[in-house]
Amino acid sequence: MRMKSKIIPFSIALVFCSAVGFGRQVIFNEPLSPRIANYKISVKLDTEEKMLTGTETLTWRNTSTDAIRELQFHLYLNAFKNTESTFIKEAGEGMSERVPKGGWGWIDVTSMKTAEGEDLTSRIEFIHPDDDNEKDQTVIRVLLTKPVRPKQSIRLNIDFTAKLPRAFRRTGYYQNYYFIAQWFPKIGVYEAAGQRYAVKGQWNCHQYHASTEFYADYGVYDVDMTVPKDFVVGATGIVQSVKDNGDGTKTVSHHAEDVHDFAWTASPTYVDLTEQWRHVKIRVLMQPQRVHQAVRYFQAAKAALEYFDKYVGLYPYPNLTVVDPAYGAMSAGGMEYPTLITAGSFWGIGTSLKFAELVTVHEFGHNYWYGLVGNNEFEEAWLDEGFNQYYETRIMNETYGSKASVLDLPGLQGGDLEVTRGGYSGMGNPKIAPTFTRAWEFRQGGYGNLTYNKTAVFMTTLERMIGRPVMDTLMKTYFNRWKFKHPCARDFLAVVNEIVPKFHGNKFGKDLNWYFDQVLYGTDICDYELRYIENTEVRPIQGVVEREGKKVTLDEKKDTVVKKLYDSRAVAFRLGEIKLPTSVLVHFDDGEEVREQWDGQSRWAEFKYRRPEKILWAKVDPDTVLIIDINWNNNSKTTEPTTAPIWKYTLKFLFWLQNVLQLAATVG
Amino acid sequence: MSVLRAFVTGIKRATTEFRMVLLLYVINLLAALGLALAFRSALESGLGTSLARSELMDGISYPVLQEFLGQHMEEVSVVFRQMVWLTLLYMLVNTVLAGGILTTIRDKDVRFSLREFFTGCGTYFFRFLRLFFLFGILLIVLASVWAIVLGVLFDAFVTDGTSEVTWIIAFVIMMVLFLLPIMILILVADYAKISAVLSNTHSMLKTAWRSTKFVFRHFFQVIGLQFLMLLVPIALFAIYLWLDLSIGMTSIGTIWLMLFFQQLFILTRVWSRVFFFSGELELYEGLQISQ
Repeated sequence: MRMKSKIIPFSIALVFCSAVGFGRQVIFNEPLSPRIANYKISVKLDTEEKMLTGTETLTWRNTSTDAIRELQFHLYLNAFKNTESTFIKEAGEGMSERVPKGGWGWIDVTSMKTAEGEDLTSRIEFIHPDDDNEKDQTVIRVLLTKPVRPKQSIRLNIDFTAKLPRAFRRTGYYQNYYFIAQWFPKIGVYEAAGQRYAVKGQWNCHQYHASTEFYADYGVYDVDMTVPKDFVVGATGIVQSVKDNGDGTKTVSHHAEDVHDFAWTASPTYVDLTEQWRHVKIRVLMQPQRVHQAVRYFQAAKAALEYFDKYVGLYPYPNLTVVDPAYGAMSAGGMEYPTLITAGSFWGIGTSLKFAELVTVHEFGHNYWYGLVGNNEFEEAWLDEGFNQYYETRIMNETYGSKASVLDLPGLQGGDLEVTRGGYSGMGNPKIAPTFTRAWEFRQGGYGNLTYNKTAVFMTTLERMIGRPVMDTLMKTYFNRWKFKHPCARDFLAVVNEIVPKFHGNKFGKDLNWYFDQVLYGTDICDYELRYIENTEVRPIQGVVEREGKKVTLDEKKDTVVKKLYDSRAVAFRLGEIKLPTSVLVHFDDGEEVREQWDGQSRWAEFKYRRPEKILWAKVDPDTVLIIDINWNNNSKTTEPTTAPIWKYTLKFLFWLQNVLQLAATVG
Repeated sequence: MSVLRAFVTGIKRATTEFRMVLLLYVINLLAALGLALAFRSALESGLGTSLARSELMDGISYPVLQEFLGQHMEEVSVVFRQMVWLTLLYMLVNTVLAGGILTTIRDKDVRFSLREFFTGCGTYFFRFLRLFFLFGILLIVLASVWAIVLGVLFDAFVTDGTSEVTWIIAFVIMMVLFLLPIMILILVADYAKISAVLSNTHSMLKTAWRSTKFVFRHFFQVIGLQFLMLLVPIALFAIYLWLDLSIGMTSIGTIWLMLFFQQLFILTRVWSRVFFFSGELELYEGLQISQ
């Protein structure tokens, strides 16, 4: 693996390009997206005051058939303004306590004018579409004097000032490290009637909640970032130019096409490393103390690129930047932005704990599920977080081994799918809400487990039911059909119901709505149990029988059948309400096995046999198709349980207990 | 009195009293066995006759463990709560046993007998109990105050740090600083018991004060001997760990083989306790005489 620092030559080359009049580089010859919201932003970072001063030119295109009389914008940074914001309130009491002195953040729109010069500043008002919190200032609307007609565009010049928060959630600063995301006035999505769930044209512009992320239209971004001269800058899109301003600052210009967000980072201490994967330049911005961990980011990023390219579709962008967050700003880690992700590593943590790899794979995956397929993360987070978690388990398990892709310690291993499933099956309240719930409406830890883990679990279950090749076809179709658009659950289900019958006919019914009604829209759990096994020796007939027309009284000793027969049965129960077809494998003591099918509709199923062999063991779901089953330990029973593992752990426990006691003896 | 001589004599003395070591080992085993069997019962009932049992042979299976804990956390919690009580009880039991150990190793020319041993236990029990409470209170106070002081220092040191390396270094330093005075206090308690047995004094406050003076007067010898002696159980543990990783417990045969090594290791730990007392007693006697 080749890795080298390119800070100086790269910067010199860019300055040279700039000096000779290198123009805006076009990334795609043909637009890949509708390019509805297009931004040109100049922003200056004041590292003393932790302030941003910016001017933004927004060109927004009305693609609906409605005349638009108002515009709505996100002012995400106001989530960090004070304890009255919806974000802080939802995050709980602990969150505001984590904000150090001077660590609050905010954003003000100081001026908003149309291209014609009409001042709209006084027409700006805060709204709170999701709750009754009048003090939340994360969404504004501005009433227009002239509506934007269908197919027309509006251009607005917006001046803004922002104070960055001390990094405690996704964005902010820590000493001279800056991660700047959700930082500019960002227009919401106007959903025309029929788009997703809109019955009439309406703005979809949610407040910033503690557990919500983003939803925006695609467009082109040209952003000039002015920072101290010695800072290394990483950002969405590609570098266009670097200009030395002669006053101790430089302006780094980035250009991005067909993306729906723009984030950037700056720090003088980054170690800037690059490697190439096919058409993608992977750039890793490392903290100096963790440079030795960069190889893990590169390996994980390449594995993810390779996997998505093979099984989902092409990554169209020419670059990817992986940011290693600073110590003290780890809360800015594990986030996704177009062509730029934040990961997370820790000095001294070896590959036994694959957190760095896992986060890289996960956040890169979001460039597909969120980035390229732009579902509404506020309302249907399962479509990106859940899908992405599903792909994370696939990639991690294939790259690092299915049993140890997360945790690989002597005597204790954990694969990504196992850990993901454990997150769902181990939650105390899996029925608290359906996965199909708006992100901010989840309670008691439900968001993470039901959005990420349960979705990954039911997607894996679906994959194992329909087969991986069908699943891959399905996901490719969904990706290709909905990239650079805003799909919803209905659109995904339509693809499922189109693809699965093509391969399986009516095997799963005319559609798979019955499946999603249970796992996505419902709250029930799946739990199958092998309740018991019985083997009863068949007793010889006693009493009087007819033989050759005569009544014969059988002699128990003389007439006993030499070969023994057993009436055996295995009984399986469905403990949960989710009904899924499964099979039961019955294993006899001569090694023969019988596989029984069970549609799972009834509460229980009994499988009876009369054979010379006894049932040795039986197992529901022997091929582990039902990843969604919350308890696998009860899926099987054997008549001859091995005691060795019980002794193994008893003796281990005894040993460590004796050690503890002996340690106590030192004090006694 | 050289530290090395105390160390060598300690080893010899502890080895000579093998019958006492064996007795202490049996007490340790019996104390732990009941709870281990309760743990076995929780494991047995939790896993039932599931085939999942066999997935635990090569190591802990993440799903089996996670589901077992999810379904049977209450039973496991009960076992661990009982473990805390057992540990406290075992401390008291060792307060009793310390008298027997020290009288046995004090009387070098007397052959070990159970009667002698338990007479020693009874003779010094109430005195050692008073020492136990005295040093217990001191330990709690010292640990609490010291933890607060070090916590404040740690926060001041790492707040606004630029790298986690600073945090790790600070944490290690703080842990060493935290454990050092605790170790010294336990040492003082040990020498107080030795002093009580050698001089047959009844005032435990005076004894504690005398042992404190002794430890600080001969600080480097006392600490030197302690660290030297610590090398023995550390080396023994390293050997055990190597055996555990090499052999594993993946079949009936290796389970029983490891049981043998585990119990052998516990025996060496019990022996180490006697060895520590012997070495300390030797050093104490030697330094008192040389004065």
